[in-house]
Amino acid sequence: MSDINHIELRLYPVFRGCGPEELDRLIRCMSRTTLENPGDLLFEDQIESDSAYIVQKGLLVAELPLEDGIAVEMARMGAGALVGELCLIKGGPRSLRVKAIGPAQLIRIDREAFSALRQAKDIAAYTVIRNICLTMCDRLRTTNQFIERELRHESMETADITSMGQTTVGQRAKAMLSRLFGRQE
Amino acid sequence: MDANRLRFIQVFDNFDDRELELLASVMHARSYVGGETVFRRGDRASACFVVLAGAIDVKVEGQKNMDSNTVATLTPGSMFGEIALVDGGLRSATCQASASGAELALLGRNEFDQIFNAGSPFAFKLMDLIGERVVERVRKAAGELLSVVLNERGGSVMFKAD
Repeated sequence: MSDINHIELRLYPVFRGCGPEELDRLIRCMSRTTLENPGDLLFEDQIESDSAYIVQKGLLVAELPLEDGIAVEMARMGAGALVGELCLIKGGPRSLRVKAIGPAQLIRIDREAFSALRQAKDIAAYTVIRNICLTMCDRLRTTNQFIERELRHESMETADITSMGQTTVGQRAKAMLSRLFGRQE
Repeated sequence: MDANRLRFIQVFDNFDDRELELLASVMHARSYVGGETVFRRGDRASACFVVLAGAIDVKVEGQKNMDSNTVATLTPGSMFGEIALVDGGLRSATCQASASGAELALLGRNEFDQIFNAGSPFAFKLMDLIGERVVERVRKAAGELLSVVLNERGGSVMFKAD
């Protein structure tokens, strides 16, 4: 039996609206996991998603490995962030590699166990899905405004120059990715 | 509204007769004359819609003037505005009945909340549908942003987010 308790879960908006019994059923899908050292891998890109994670402590980086062996950093996620949560709604391969920047403590939500709750039409699973959608819709709105403003309606010349501080459109896109992926300070 | 009218809607293919009856009991049909606005961009979203008959034009404002451009036309069976059921944010486009008019089935956010909180399996089926659409949109948006980051790094890589 997991030692994960209601008090710590109530810190996270993804469990908003879940009662004690619902949290108990969700806890059965969870386990604790830690990343001890900088560079420790949480998951590799292109691998089928099997879990979502809540970052309780520490900082993670999401990066895209390229063919030349170099990885491009795309986003950073800290305490409070939910990582890889889309797989709880719809499966698919991971789009990015995620690893630790320093020691990190996480709660792992097993996709298979969560799917079983979903199959049973358990309101606990659907409350989580609804909360994920709610958060994502909010982030999507900001992201789509950015895409519309910076990538569609401006000429490349305008988009490439510095208009938000001394940053390029690529740097601003990276900042938007961090927000979309739930960066928490 | 009559459940039979929902029977041909593709998004409700997995719904059995009882679920369709329940859905029909919380949805209602409304007719729109040609050119009539269903909602405008920026309106607070409070319902989702299914096209029963006719067509709906999805419009966005023109870039340099206030004329609207049709970016999509939704035909019978199409569902739109469904994100409103979880979000209730602002509409991102304007929807108008096409010249020949349209008939829509509406599901309000309050009605959805009611059936969701009551634990109705068909509310969860709708949630599955909404969830999948949200995931597709997030992955598409993330893919666009990743492509921008990669392109700036050099070359013209197109990233496909899965």
